[in-house]
Amino acid sequence: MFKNNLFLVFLVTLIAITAVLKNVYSDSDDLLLDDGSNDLLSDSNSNDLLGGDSDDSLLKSSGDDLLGGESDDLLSGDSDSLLGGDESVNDLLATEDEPKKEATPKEVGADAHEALFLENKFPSATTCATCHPDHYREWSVSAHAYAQLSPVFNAMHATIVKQTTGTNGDFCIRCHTQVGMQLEEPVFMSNLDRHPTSREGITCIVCHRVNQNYGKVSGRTAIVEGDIFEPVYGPSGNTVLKEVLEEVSKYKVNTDRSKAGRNIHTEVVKLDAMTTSGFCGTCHDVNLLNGFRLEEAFSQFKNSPAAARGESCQDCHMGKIPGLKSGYDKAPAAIIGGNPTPERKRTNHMFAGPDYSIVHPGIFPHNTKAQELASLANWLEFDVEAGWGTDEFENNAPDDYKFPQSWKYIDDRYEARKILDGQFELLREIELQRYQILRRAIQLNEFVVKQYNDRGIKFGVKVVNGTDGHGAPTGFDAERLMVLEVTVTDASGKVVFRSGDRDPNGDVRDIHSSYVHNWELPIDKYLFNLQSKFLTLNVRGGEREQVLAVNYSLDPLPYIRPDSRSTILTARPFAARKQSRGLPPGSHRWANYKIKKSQLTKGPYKVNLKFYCQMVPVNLVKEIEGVGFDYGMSTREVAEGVVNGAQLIWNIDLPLNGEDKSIKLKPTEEEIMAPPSKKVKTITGEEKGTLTYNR
Amino acid sequence: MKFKIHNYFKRIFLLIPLLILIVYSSLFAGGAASRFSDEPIPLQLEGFPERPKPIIEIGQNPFLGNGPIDPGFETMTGAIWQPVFIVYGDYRTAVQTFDNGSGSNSEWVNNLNVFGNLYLTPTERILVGFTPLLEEGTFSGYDFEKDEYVNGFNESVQTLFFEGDFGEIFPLLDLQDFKHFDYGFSVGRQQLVFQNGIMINDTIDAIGITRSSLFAAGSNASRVTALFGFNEVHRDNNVRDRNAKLFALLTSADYNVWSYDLDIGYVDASIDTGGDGFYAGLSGTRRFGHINTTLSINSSIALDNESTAISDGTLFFGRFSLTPPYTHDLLYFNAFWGVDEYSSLARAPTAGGPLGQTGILFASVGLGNYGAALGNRADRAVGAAIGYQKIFNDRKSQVIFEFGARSDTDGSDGAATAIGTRFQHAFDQHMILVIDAFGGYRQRVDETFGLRTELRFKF
Repeated sequence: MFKNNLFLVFLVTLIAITAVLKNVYSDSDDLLLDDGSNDLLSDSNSNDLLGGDSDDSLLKSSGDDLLGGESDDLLSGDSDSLLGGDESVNDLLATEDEPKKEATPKEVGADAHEALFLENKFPSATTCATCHPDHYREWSVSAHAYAQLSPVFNAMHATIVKQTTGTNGDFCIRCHTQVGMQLEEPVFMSNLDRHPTSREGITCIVCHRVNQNYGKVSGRTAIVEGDIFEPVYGPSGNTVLKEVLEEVSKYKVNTDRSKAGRNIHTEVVKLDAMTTSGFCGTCHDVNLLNGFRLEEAFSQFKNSPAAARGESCQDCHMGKIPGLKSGYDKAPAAIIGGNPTPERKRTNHMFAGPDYSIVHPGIFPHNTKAQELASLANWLEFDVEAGWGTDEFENNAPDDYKFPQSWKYIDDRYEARKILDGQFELLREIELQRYQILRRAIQLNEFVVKQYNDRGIKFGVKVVNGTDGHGAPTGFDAERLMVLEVTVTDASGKVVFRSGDRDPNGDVRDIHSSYVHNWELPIDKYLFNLQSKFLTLNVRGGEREQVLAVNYSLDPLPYIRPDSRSTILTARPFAARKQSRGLPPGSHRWANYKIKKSQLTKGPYKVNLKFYCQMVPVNLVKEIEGVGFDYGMSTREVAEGVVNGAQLIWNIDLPLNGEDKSIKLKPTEEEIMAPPSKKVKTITGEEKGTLTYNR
Repeated sequence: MKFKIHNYFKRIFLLIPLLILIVYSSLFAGGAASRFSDEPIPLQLEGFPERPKPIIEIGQNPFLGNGPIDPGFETMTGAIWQPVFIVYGDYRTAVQTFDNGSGSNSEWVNNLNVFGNLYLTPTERILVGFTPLLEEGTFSGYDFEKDEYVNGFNESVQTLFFEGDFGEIFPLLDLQDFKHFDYGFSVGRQQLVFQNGIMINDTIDAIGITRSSLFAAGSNASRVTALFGFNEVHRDNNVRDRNAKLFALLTSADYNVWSYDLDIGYVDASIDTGGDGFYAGLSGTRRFGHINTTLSINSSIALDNESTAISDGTLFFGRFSLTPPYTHDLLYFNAFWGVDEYSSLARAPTAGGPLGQTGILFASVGLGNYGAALGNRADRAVGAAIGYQKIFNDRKSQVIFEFGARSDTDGSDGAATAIGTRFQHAFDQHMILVIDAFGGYRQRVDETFGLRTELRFKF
């Protein structure tokens, strides 16, 4: 039938190539606009594997300059104001094809009805705040409250959705805004355009309107819909509420929808599961539906000594002392019309952890007064750094100073500043708790000199996981930076050895640093970092680390579908996994270093140990920039926020003289709990602070 | 050994279109600056992909879709089940010609993998799979050489298993969540791949039990799986042994630097069908600076007489890769050394030999009769491949260019070399175009070549 089969196949191939070229050029807008590294039409010329132009030589070495910390270095110098640039914030906030426009009165009315309707289905935390102001205050600054507002999260999950051709769907964001997903909001949009309750992330009802124990469902739980009068679910049941309802005249509460007044839920249903670790495990054991084990906090806990002792997540993370089973406070469950309810077990809803906010303090922490004063978009225009609303600024501002329309009145600016002062206080409060819980999780216990002679110096630092309830880090451990920075100086103060330092973007010098990846800085071969790594299976050539675990090497259309193999037996899908590198519960690891003979100068030497905890590495910020950042932020602004928020949890100076072969560093309970500003005696006898505040 | 290199350049013109693409992408792909940009980046909402729904989706909770979640129902064991059934899979169709030097084949071939997945919870599911266009290695399509249609219709179930977590199925056993009932298990006919397909690559009837998130042997994380295969075991010769029983202990462990997989297995079979065998595999992955490294060693021991089903041998494998500066590309080099005749624990009829990870020239495409340009059997042989994968067009396109060679170590089969290329492009949310081509020379059978164009639809 076909005389020349080869010709037929060749013809089909040519047709196919033609179709590809046509398809590529039909996407030409993308190619022309995208400044990413793979832009075919970019005029950059540095992609030559073997060196290319001399200016872009892969072997070019300018490491000393880069290491020296130019003004661009995120770790040195003050960062620019997040939103203090010349550009109009509204311009930046407008998404590409959605220019901001004024709402008509009709639209405003429709929005109000819509908000009321949704409030009847999913009450906002601001509604709960009326009677539970202390709970609200704690929650408002928590990572739960920040979960959806985070511009890093918003861009990261959108990047994953985009790279998986949309197939990852709502997997990530389902946990981060249960309400938004219940409302069928798009998985990717500006937080400014989400429903206010959707922006609240893991808001009150995400836990307290759940009526059963779903197990390890990676956050796919059902919220029981209903207005404020409907029952809520809690660990203690109806006891306190019953007393309140019996004293209506005292508390002046209203349980009748047809009447006006201080509305209150009519029942608190006791949900025993809420006091178990499994309730936390509903979200804090994240397994993709293709079998990828992204987060294993709950699974780690189940295999930990803490679980064997009968301790729960709540015992350490909702008790008196962050990270330590220390009992619970007793306090009123609610304050209704100024009247506190009887005291009972009171859990801490601040949930201090490794995450922190990098967004404008007017929009986070959540604040009912802030929300009443201005919209989120307006808050983003408020220049905190310039000092708006302070006497110093207002008394000296020139008459022609250009304020945006929403902040043109000085009273509003003073009111805003007053709110912000409270916000800063709250941020400092959780920063302290974060500091304490991280110091409990990671400790430096011992310093040992293994060799000290003319041939070089070898020494080690024993890094300990101070908790035995889970790994350190845990949860999203593939994106938690926990780094030991080691600096050795000689008698003249000259640095002879350094590890754990940052590149000009704020990355440690691992292969994900842009500078290291591009061979402009050497890799830090002594880097001690507890961050786990995503590995993807290459088309050939084994596995490689990727910032995100979307495998695009095997084929150009990554798809999230259930694996056709059992992933329970392998605990991972075929083409991607995580290499855990954190410290198991209660374990330790030695960070070992060697100073070569050629690096030695003149002793005595000193070594400085700094341990930093940073919520994500900034190479993640670079990886996710393609989908854009919320609130009009640039890649560098986001990276600056991330780096500036990193906490220095240990800062220790030690002699390195060959005589002190072993120095015990194990912190006391007092040192673990010491506030950052408190002077702490170091091993060398110096009095010094252990943390420089970033705010 | 003597190579007649000039021979396979006779058909090098076949590669010209793809070489043009390689040169084009290499010359015009741009590098990104190391310093992060100060320019605000607005949200790129236009053209953001919608969720491609599975073709069938039954249940209150859409598969990874937004919207209200149904609370499901409570079972007698106390578990909450939220059933969702989806159908997904892929369809592949290709025209291809393949000449291994001793004979050629040109064909249009098709394969359809259809899976029905019933999620009871995110941890418990039943999976059923069919390959209606593939019957025992015969793919439906058209054979141009014989000028006839090929019918590979197959209505039988290829995959059917249940997997779940004991602790999740029986939550009432541990209301406070302090105990260790988190045993994962899987039972039924299922595809198993271990040691990257070198040791096990087969679909068998099996039951397996797993503990994961352990901290065994000082690891940061580890997993232990016990496996018993009781039916449909295919031996190393890709032939089904209906009576063979498979036992395996499969482990993985992450350490700070290395990540290991250590697996051991045993097949109990009658001497008539090949005899018993013992198998072990150890692989480790780490990075040396910028170099990704995976090393593995797999051994087999025939406990009865050696046969085509099982023989003594060891396969050493080294895989290395590097992502060049300013790119997401991949430069790779892989090498193997087969001592004696290594046998896999289980290999499916379409799985070929264990060398597929060496390079695209060592792997069949898994569709029709387009085989491995350089073969994928490891008996008394050494070989290597070096390749470059260029990823471009916002990761929608990629091209691989590879050179590979192999030689026997006992003079039985001679040497072979080949160059090959693969181009892949994603058109939309469902379709991928794949073009493969190679030209090579094999001692004793002269030149070899192949060319194919495939469309793959994911749904």
